[in-house]
Amino acid sequence: MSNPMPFICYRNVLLIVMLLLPLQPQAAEPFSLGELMHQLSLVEQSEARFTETRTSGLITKSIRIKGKLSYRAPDQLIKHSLQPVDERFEINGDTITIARTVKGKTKERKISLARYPSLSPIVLGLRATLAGDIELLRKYYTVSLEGNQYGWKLELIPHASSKSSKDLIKEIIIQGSKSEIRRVQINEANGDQSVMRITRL
Amino acid sequence: MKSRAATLLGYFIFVAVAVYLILNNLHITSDMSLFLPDGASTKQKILIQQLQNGSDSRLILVGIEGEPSEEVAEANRELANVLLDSPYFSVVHNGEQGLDSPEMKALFSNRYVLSPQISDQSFSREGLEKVLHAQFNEMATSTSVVSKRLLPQDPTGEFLEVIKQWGGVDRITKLHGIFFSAEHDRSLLLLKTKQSGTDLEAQSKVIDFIQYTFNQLPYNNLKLILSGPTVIAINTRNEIRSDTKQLSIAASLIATVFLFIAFSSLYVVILCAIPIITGVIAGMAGLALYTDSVHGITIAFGSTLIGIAVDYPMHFFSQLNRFGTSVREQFKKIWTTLRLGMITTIIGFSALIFSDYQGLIQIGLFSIIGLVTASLTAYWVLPAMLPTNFTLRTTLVSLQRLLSTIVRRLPKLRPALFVIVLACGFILIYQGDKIWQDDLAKLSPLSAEIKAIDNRLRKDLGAEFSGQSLIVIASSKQQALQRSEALSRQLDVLVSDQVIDNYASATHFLPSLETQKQRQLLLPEAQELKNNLYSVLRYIPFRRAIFDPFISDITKAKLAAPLSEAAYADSLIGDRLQNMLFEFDGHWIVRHPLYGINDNKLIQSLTSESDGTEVLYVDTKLETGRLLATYRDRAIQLFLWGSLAILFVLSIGLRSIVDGVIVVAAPLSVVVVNCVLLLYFGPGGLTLFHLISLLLVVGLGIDYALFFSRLGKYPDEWLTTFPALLKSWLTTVLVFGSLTLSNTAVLQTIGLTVASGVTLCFIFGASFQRSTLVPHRF
Repeated sequence: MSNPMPFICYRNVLLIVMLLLPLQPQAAEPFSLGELMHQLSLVEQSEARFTETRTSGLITKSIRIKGKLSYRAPDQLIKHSLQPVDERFEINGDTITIARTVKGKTKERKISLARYPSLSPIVLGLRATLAGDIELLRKYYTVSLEGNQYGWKLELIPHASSKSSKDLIKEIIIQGSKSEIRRVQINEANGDQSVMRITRL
Repeated sequence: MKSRAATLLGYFIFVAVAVYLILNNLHITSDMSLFLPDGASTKQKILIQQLQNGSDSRLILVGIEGEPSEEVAEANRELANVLLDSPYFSVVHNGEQGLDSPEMKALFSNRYVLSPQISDQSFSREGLEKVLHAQFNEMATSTSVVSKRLLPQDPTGEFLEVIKQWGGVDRITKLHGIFFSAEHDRSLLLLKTKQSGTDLEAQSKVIDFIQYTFNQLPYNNLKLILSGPTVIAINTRNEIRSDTKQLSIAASLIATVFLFIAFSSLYVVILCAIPIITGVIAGMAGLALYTDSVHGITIAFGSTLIGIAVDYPMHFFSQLNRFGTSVREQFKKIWTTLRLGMITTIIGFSALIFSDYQGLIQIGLFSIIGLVTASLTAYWVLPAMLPTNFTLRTTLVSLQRLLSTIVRRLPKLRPALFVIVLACGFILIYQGDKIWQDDLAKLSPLSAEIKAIDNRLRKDLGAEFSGQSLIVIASSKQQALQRSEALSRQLDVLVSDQVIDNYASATHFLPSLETQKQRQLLLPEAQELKNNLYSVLRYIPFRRAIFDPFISDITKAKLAAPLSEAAYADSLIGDRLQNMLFEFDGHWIVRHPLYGINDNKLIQSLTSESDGTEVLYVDTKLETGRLLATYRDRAIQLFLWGSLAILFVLSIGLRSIVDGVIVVAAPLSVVVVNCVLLLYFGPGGLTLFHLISLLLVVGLGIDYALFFSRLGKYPDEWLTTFPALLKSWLTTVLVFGSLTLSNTAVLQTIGLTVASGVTLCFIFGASFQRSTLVPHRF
């Protein structure tokens, strides 16, 4: 008499293996900085609402700022705060336009980024991140990435060589999912902090 | 034999004494005030002082050009670091220091005494509430990162007000944290040396050090440019030196070669130089007796005028062709004519002595003494240096033949020449004042390149010279400062009304003692301030403790000693302050440079004079133009009087007024024609340098005219006199012609004027003759 057992076991095992195959989780795609930057660079424009919380050693209460963000690739970014102060902060290439409206009257000021190096790293950091420009980012920061495409965290630390930025900013932490930036945290060298939560419209 | 030895001995003693006088008593200066009329007004004196010490001569402006801008910025930083570590500089400023620069530190620590906006409400509860409320809102803006830095020490924002008032360094463009030109093609560095700017040698070493340090940097395609008062002075000096060296060698060579061909005796060539050299030495010795400081220009111009003495040896040596007659005898023949020429020239020059400008008087004195000495040397001393029966061969025969033929025909040109002279005369009258070049800038010996670099760097750094300013003159420093403060308030109104773009005032940095006291009084006591502050902080969520620096700064400021210039010693402000506030001629002056004037009349209305203080409006360009015009008019007046005097003397000497007129006619016609030629072919506009050169031309012209008229009377002298004229003319043209190759505008001008003028004198002198010239037929 032949042994029927092994044949049935082998087929069952095969069946089980075949059934189980589709249920294996997708292998996590290798998520690199290059990947993230590429995803971000694909965004042509986006609009969002934000809430920013600022804390500082100078004040006893934190400040809450609400407003709208608007981005147009590759280098136009508008942050329009509505509360507590009506201020429209626009970055267009290397020119910054700041418009403050007090009691219905608007005063506008134009600054060239070159003149105020202390603003450059923050401004350029955001711009470079939004545009997915890794070179520009690396010019000013040491960049490290954690997480995967559904939840990533970028940590930017200013280079020691750019004297003015190192004085002011300790690090910038940007969190997001896929090509959407959800949270920007700026830790200043003196301990002050700004946390911005962004909701895309 | 004896008389010759005696003559030579006498001569050497004379020269020795002269040189001794010069070395001991004479001091060469570059003080331009020598060229101011004796009765100059305070305004004019201040002007000249400003022109001389326009800015602190310790300042060196540095520019680094190239690409990319990051490298340029890096090079700048590295250069700045090395220079800071070296012992040469008290200020090294490239914008990096930001708020840490000496200027910012000085302005910041004195903000409470400098700020114009402090009132008795500034530190009251209401005032503090308003300010702190605004500051809290500011924390929610995009620039909070920058603005909150000064918040603990200066919540009321006085520093910002002070900076606004200054408008200084703020105007400079910055890139990568470093000063850059507006087009971003050049990074800038401001240096102030510890050594005074008058020591050119020491400054030269410092400049070499900067260049050396730059060359050591590892950047290959960047360029360094330097400017500043001492850099310019040194560059100009070097350029003039090398230019002069090259030219003197060239001119001497050409002249020597030509004279050798002309006289075929090297010894004679050397002798030709002796009268002029003796003349210059004697002239300087004469000046040494008269005054103790001489401007370099005097010596330069004086020596040019003594160039007439080139003639004398020529004429004398040309007589030496008769074997058997002593040299002295042969010289004697033409001595009367030469003497007449010399006397008329001296009369011409003496017109300078009757002007009331020290500089011109000195030039006149120098040239007269020099000329007399030169001619006497040629007449007395030269024969003593030659063997008794010395003769010279006839030379340049073919040239003489050619020119004799031409000269014979020249009188036929007379009618044509008359027409030309009349036409030129009309042109000059028609053009009137337009023929003059009044722009002092064009007269300066600086090369165009040096000026261009200086202008570029100054513009980048916002340190342009302002040609227009309002000047306050008072008898004491505090009076001047107080008047200046009142004036500044008026100027503030003009700025807001856009009558002027901007202005600068010493009181922005150094308020009068009175104002400082007033401001200190307005500052609150520590306790009062704390009370007001803390009561406001109950409603505005700033942390109390952060304002401790503010409270201590106010307390310090309230009790501080008055602010003085010492606070700005090692900064750029100290620099500017020096030429905006200074003592002069027993008065205190505050100068307010004005920028971008749109309405002159309104500015004029600010001038005043009341209880010992004066407010004047000075437009540098206009004033210097006026000064030059005054000189010129005076010079022309003297010229005309001189011509009449010359005519008078000539008529007596020649025993005929008509002859006198004829002799004078030639050089005067030449002047007219030469002026027109220079206007159209020269670098445009006649200047003082042209006038002085024309004096030389006239002197030579009279000489030629006299000798041509002598030829008319004694045609048998053709073989001796004509060669002399020829050689004189050619030597002058060659020597002054080589000056036109110079890079310095002044030397070019003189060379062109004299070379062309002398040629015209030859032509006109030959053709304007009463009797026909009968040249020797070769």
